Amino acid sequence: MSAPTVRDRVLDAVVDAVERSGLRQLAMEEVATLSGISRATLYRHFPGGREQLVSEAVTREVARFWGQLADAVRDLPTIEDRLVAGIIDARRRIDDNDLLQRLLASEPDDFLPRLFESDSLVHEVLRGYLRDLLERERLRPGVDLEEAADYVTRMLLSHVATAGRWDLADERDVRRLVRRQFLAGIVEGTDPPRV
Amino acid sequence: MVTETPALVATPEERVLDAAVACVARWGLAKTTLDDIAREAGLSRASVYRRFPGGKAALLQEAGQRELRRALAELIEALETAETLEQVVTDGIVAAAAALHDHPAVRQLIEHEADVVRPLLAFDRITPGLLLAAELCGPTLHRFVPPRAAAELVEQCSRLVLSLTFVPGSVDLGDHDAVGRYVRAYVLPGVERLAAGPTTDPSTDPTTADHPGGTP
Repeated sequence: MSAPTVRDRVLDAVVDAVERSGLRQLAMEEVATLSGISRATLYRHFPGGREQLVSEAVTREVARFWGQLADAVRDLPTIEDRLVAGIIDARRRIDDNDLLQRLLASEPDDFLPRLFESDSLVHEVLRGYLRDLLERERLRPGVDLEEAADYVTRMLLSHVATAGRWDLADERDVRRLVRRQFLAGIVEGTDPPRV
Repeated sequence: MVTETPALVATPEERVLDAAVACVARWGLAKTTLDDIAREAGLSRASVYRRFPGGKAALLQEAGQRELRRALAELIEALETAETLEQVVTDGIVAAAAALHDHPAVRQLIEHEADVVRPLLAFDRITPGLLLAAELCGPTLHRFVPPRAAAELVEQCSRLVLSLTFVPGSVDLGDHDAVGRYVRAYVLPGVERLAAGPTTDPSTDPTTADHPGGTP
């Protein structure tokens, strides 16, 4: 593995500092100390100061979250399997992320707007990813690939954000959800059997 | 059905909730204070606190729940005459989107406070709203699909309305034909084989004729 860049070291330090004392307390001084660089260098790399540090650290963590998720489902053969495993894994990662849970509980007003800054980027990246997966499937006649990918993206983001009536830790429940509500109109053979 | 006698005089609680909605419509979520709400309701700050000890957040949450209940009651009434599953789902989505869009407080939030609202839609904060929608609107669909599928369907449609309202895109929720097409493409295929009768209006669905799997 290559040595971490100054940028990565700084953003790691931001996460460490927030873990120790919260978002509101975050100071440039502490980040400089933790990352082992001078304040002058810190400002050269992040001229936007504290705001920029927080914004970039959050964006990087969001990108990591989705990247790790994609890695975790990489070997699964179908979009159905990837969506099922991905939803379960995403929900677990959110529940198990102590820092995220602490910020949600103690500093939601400072933290949440940051978290959603990268929202449209996430939507766009996911749509591209799901479009590529859909392209490999046997699609129902007349499916508009772009629109279908956008539809699945919306459903996926909605369920990662909100469980609603579904038990998203239960594979059977999630598979039922994915087949019936995500893919039935798009991928051949996913609509429910006749009763 | 229980009929409620309309109250001639609003209770202080109702006045406070009305005032909260009016303030949010005028100033937004972030800028509205408990003082504003008390003044609007014509009550003292102390008496507002006595009735809503949870403060601004709890009060606004209760106001939101009440607005949602009201909107859903109106929605259900509008859906009672629908004749097919496609019609009830399409009409429901269009009407729900219109109600969201036309609500003065929601409109203010969409136009000026998207960064405040988006987080409200995450981390399971709207699960109670989704469950309420399914509980109240689900029975409207029992004519067409079994109860469990009905509740799931209402939740699915609620999610789509929220997603397409706050992240506009592939379909214009004000365009009834476009929503109908979207519903036929993505929503109905998951339930049509469970349905008790024809799900689509034959005049709008060219695939009905050669779709043997439709009706058992």
